[in-house]
Amino acid sequence: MSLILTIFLYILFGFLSGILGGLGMGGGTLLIPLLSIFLNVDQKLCQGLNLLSFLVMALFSLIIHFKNGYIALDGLWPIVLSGLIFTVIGALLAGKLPSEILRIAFGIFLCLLAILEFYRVGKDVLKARKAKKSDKTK
Amino acid sequence: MVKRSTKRNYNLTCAKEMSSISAKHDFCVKRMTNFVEKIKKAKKIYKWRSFYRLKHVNYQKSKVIFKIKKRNVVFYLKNNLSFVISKRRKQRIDKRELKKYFLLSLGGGFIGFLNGFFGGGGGMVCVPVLNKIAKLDEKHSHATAIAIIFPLSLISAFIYVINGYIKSLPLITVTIGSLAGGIIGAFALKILPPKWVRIIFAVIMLVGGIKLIL
Repeated sequence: MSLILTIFLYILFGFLSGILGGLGMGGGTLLIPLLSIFLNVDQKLCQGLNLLSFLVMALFSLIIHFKNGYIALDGLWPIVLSGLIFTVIGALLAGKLPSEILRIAFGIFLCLLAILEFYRVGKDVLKARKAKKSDKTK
Repeated sequence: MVKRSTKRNYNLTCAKEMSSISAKHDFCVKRMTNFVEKIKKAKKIYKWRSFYRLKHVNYQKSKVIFKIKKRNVVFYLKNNLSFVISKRRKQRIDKRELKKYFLLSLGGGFIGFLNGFFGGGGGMVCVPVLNKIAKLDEKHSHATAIAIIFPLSLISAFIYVINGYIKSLPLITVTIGSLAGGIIGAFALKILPPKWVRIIFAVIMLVGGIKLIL
């Protein structure tokens, strides 16, 4: 595969996952499968790329959200504290395991997330229909 | 709510008939039950806004407690059958806060582990955690989730870089692409219908997940 095509695909995949990230849906969960399947990129490299590109995007969107006043960090210190500890644990663990296992584990994780998302969308649709019905009868 | 004048006439006639205290009490209870039923049906009450919630009704003491903006406001039904007194009750803090902190730290641990191990599924778990346990609304939870994931991603990215898993060419290109995509995504957020985007996203995730496993 030529270098230009590789570069173009990298940018394209970054673009697509960036759109999803801008929509608030975790662009990384699209980036890793795309890179892994089409460009055969190593799983650990994918995950690192995901993290770093998220950082850049998050910086900008944080500034905007902060200006709009949407960040509510009162009383949320337990999340950050335990998150930091377990992040270190997770990252070190991921370093020790081989890439194949990480790939399969990530695949399972994606499937679980997808099922969860289907369930949530179904619940919202049912709620909306119920609200519509009760409005109509009123 | 009934107008004042009719209430007064009503009270006068009733006061004559009701001699015993128990009869008055029963009548009070009945009036209060009607009032409570009206509140349950209609979200809007005279001068009260819709986020007032009925918390508890004490029929023995003719007392109704509403939950208004996290405070408990108590209304007593007096002899003239109108709600007159409102009093604030002290807020019970400790147990609920501890439970909340425990749940938050559990959730935070899970989010952190996902972020470190998978390189970034933390956001998808963080938003529901913030919605349900911290009880934030949609926009606040999305923004705060980004704010929480940011330092966690920073640390895990640091560990990945130190272990030498990152190469420069993919890094630069993908970052540029995701920046551009992020800007467009932020615009698209205002336009697209969320339901279909979520469904398409879930389908893509499922397909990607299955392909990764095989």
